[in-house]
Amino acid sequence: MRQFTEAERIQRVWDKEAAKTVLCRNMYYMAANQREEALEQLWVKEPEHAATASYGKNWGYYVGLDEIKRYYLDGNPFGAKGTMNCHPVATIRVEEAEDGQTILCQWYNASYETRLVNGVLTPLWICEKGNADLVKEADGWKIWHYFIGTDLQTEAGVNYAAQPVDLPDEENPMAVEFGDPTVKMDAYITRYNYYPYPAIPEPYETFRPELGCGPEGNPNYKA
Amino acid sequence: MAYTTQQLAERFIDQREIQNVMGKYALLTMICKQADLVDKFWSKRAETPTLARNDGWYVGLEAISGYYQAISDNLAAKLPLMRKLFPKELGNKSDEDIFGVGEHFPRPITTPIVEVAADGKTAKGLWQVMGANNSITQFGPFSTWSWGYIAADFVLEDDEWKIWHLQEFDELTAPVATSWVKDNPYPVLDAFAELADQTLPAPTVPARLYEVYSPEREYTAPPRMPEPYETFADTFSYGMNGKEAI
Repeated sequence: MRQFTEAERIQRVWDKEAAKTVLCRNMYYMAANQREEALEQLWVKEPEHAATASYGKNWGYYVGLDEIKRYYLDGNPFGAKGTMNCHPVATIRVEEAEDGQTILCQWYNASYETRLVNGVLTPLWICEKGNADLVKEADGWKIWHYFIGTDLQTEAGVNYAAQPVDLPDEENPMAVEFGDPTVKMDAYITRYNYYPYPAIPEPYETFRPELGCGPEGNPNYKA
Repeated sequence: MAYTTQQLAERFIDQREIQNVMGKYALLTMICKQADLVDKFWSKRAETPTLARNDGWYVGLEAISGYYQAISDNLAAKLPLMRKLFPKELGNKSDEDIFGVGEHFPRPITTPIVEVAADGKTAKGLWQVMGANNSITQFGPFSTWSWGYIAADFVLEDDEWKIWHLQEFDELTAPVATSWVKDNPYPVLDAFAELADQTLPAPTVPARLYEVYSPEREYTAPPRMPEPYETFADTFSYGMNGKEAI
C-alpha cells in the first residue's frame, strides 16, 4: 500500500464520503420514484463508461446505459396508488483504489416495497446485498456498475418457510420484474445461503473487471 | 467550492458531529427520554424552531417541548395500569424505577445525507428510519413497524451543532407480522382500553405534511434531499415551507 500525504489522505476520506452519499441519493431517488433523475444525476456519462455500465441482479445484467434505461425506466413497476419502495443503505463498506479513480462499494439492506403482483397490491420484505463500482468523472463520482443480489423476498405477514425453497422465476416478482436482460445468466445464487460474489471490497491499486460487480467480474460469466 | 486540507478536515468533523447528534436523538427516543430532547439537542437561539410531524407544525420551543413532554406524560400515565397487571414485579418499585416499562422504540437511522454549508454555520441532513414501536396500547402489548424519514436543519451554536428545524415523518406504521395493505386485525382489549384515550397536543399549525401509507395513498416521495449550498439563504428550509395549513 502506497503512502499518502496528509492532503491526499483527507481527500480520500472525502472521496469515500462522496461515494456513500451517491448511494444514499440513489435510494432516495428510488423511493421518490424519480428514476430518470437518478440515471441523469448519479450514473456515468463519459462514453467509454456509458458503454460498459451495467445493472445486474440475480438473473443477469443490463449492459450499456440504453439497456439500463430499457429496464429501469421502461419496466418501472412503481408509481400507481398504493405502491412504494424503500431500499435503505446500511452496513456499508467502501474501498478507494490507490490511483483514486474508482471506488468499490458494498452494503446490505432490509428493504420493503408494496408493488402490484398480478394486479394485486403486494407488500414485500426483501433482503439484498448491494454493490456498486463508482468511477471519477469530470463532475464527480458516478455509478458505473451496480448489482443487487436478492437473498430473499417474501410477502409481509406470510411465513417465509412456506415459500418453496427453489421458487420458480415465474412466481418470483423480482425475477419477473427484471425481464429480459442483455446478459442473461445465473449471476447470484441463493440456493446455498451466502454467495461470495460480489466480494467484500478490499484495498486495491487500480480497477480490474474481476474486482468489480459488472458481468466480467462474475465467476459464472462466459465471454 | 475549493477547501484547504485543514478546512476539509474540519468539515469532516462537522459532518460526523451532525450524525452523532441525530444518532443520540434517535437513541434517547428509544429509551423513553423524550422529555430531555429539547434541552439536549435543540437550538435555543435560532429563529422560529419547528418540529414537523405528519399532521402539522409545532412552532417554537414551548410547543415542541409540550409535544415531547406529552409523550413522556403518556408513558407515566401507564404506570398504574402496569402495576395493577404486574403487582409482583412492579408493586414495590418507584415511578422513576419503572418509567418506560413495556416500552421500546428502536429508531435505527440509515441512508444519511449531510450537507454542511460552505460558510460552516448551518447544515442539513436526511435519514431513513427503520423503526419499531413496542408499546403498551389499547391492543395490549403491541409491536408495530415504524418506518419513515427524518430531515433536519442544524445550526452551529457555541461550537455545538443544534437542531433548528426537524421533520419526523412516519411513512408506514403497521402491526409486526401482518400485511400492511390490510387493516389492523387486533381488537382493543378491555384491560387496556383506557389507553385509547391518550392523546398528544395538536400541532401549532395543522397541515397535511406527509400522508402515512395506506393502499389508497397516492405515490409519495420522501422529504427533499439536501444539496450542497453556500449559506442558508441559498437553500430550502425544513422549517415551515408554505405547505398549506388546514
